[in-house]
Amino acid sequence: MTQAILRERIFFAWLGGLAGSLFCIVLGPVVRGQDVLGFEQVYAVAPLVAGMFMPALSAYAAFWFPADERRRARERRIEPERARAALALTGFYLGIVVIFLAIPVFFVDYSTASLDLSEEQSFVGRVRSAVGIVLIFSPLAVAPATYLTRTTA
Amino acid sequence: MARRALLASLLCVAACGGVTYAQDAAPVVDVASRYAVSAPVADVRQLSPEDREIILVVIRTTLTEQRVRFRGAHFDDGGAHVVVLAGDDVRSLVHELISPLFATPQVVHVEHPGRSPAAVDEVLAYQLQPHLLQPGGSIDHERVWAAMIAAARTPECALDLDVESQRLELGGLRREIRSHDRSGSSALGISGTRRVYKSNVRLALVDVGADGSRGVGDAIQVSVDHNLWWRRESDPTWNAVPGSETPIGPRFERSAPPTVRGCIGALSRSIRR
Repeated sequence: MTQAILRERIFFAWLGGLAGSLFCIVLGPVVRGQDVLGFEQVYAVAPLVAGMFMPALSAYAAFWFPADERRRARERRIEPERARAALALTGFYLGIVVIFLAIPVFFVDYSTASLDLSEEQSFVGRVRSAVGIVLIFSPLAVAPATYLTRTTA
Repeated sequence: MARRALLASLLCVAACGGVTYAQDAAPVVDVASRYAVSAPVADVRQLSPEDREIILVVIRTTLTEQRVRFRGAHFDDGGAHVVVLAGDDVRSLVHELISPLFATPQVVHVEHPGRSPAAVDEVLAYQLQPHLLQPGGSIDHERVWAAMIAAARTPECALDLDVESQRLELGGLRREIRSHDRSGSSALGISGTRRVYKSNVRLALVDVGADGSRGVGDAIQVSVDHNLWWRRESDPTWNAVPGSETPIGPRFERSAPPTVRGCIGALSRSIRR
């Protein structure tokens, strides 16, 4: 597998992760009902979620534009085990992201015995916590990026 | 391969946007209530003790406040207090809300001094229950206040009164007590909603001065203010239930929370006792 192909696959994995995460949270009000979760809450956390993906996406996307870099990357071959490791780590991280986002969207019971709901127990608070936890695992995803985003020059 | 994946991603994002746009129209709950029953002071003083049993009151709501006007009422219709109401919708609404509280309202014609003879308004007249008046004809504030408290504690109203909120000014008779915030998510029964609700009811008894301002006077203003908020289950932010946009009239009665109707009904029965 060439470096260009691996970069491309990982880029689309990140792009799919972003689309899947946004789709997941947007689907929340539809599945849970707007009495439980409103679209304005989704809009509030969307930048937070997108912010997890943008650095990696922009890094991979940047390699598409210099013609020389693309040509060299097409010629450079990556060992299969490294390619598999890069894809596995990326997939694992993105899977964690989607799972951690899906929990507050689809599975948390927000009903409380008291009238008020604390900020930490709210949807936005839980997503914020989920993003914080997921970012702990981000070095796993950054590892292949660190390797693959090196220029071939 | 890459193009297909990119196209699929774009379609996915577009689908998300479409779903968002289609679902973003949250249902509007049209509930608002603020009830104030008052008797103009200047007119009370003009009445004989017997006539003081007849008090015309007006109920003001946040929905109708702009349309209800006091016009310095002039009375020669059985010595009654008159408050002029403007607008058929308002009259209908007032009739619906206040008729359980007092005696059956009667339509009376009121002439306005200083205006042309043609300036005659039809107004609704209401009687305060006689046992709430003292032997001399003045209003028995203690009884009215006790009636309000008793009404608040009936099963259908069931207010958990917040003693900390009580304000007493014995000389000028300004009394106010609020209920604790309480959930009405299941009791309100507002169709199409499963949101979390909380409500707060304020009972107030205020002396009204001779010039209509609040202060020592011969009349009182009895008010039951009801505030309602809602929030989504996953959102800690409380939102006031919108009401100013609500069309007035019979629809108000249907959409009014049962808790409010219970309090008003209880107050009515308490006053009648």
